[in-house]
Amino acid sequence: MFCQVFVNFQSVVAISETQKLAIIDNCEAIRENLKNVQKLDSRMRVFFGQHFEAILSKFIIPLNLRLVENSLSNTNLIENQNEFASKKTAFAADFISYQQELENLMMLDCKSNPEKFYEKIEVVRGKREIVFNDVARMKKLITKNMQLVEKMKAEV
Amino acid sequence: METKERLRMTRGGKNLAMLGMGAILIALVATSISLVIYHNSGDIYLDRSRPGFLPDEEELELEEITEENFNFEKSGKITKEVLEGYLEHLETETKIIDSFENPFSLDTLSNERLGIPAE
Repeated sequence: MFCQVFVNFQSVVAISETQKLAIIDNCEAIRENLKNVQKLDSRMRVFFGQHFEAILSKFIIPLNLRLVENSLSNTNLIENQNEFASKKTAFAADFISYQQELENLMMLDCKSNPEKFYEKIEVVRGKREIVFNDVARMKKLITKNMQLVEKMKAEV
Repeated sequence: METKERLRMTRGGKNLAMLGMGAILIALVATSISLVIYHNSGDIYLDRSRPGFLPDEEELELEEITEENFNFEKSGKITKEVLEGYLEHLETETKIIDSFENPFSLDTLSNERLGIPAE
């Protein structure tokens, strides 16, 4: 007979007394700051979302279709297209996840529970980093696409 | 006869009132469900039409200026010139994207920016 012991691990982010007092004292200012971040991030998501969509639908996909028509289909360009499309979807999903955490953070009372508030900030930072990496990856994919087309141009 | 007529009208009035209340109740339930779905699906975070998130005037002007209307044709010959045109316009689009410096920068939520001391 197996005994299963469930241990509830609670992640605790250690913050100093100074940090705790700073969070309590600056609670409103921090909230305001987070509100501005939320607004700016929303604007950035729309900006990048629109441009990534434009690049995919007006450049990458039509190019691959035209290459197929000319029997010049390039596996690397198709892979690039698939990865770009997949990353674009992931970017939207990761952004939603990040915004949900940011909203949860903004709902916390930083005056009464600064430790939990700081712990949540760390979670939000992690989520934001994922979004940051998504955008960086998409930019690299665009660069790679251009490099592949340059190479193709030399061979045509 | 008159009493029967009056009774029919009262019953009709009651039924109408119940119909109205039922319609309002259904509308409230349907609206609540759709709002919950809207929130839980995450679409609320992608929607900039909500109050406080509408684009500013300068932003709209910038969007008009930076819009790249190029559409690479899906069919036609592939020549060096065609690919050059593709690269030229994609380069323009890339410059527009790069105009937003350091998107989702990690510094934005740093302790320093939030007014929390390092230790």
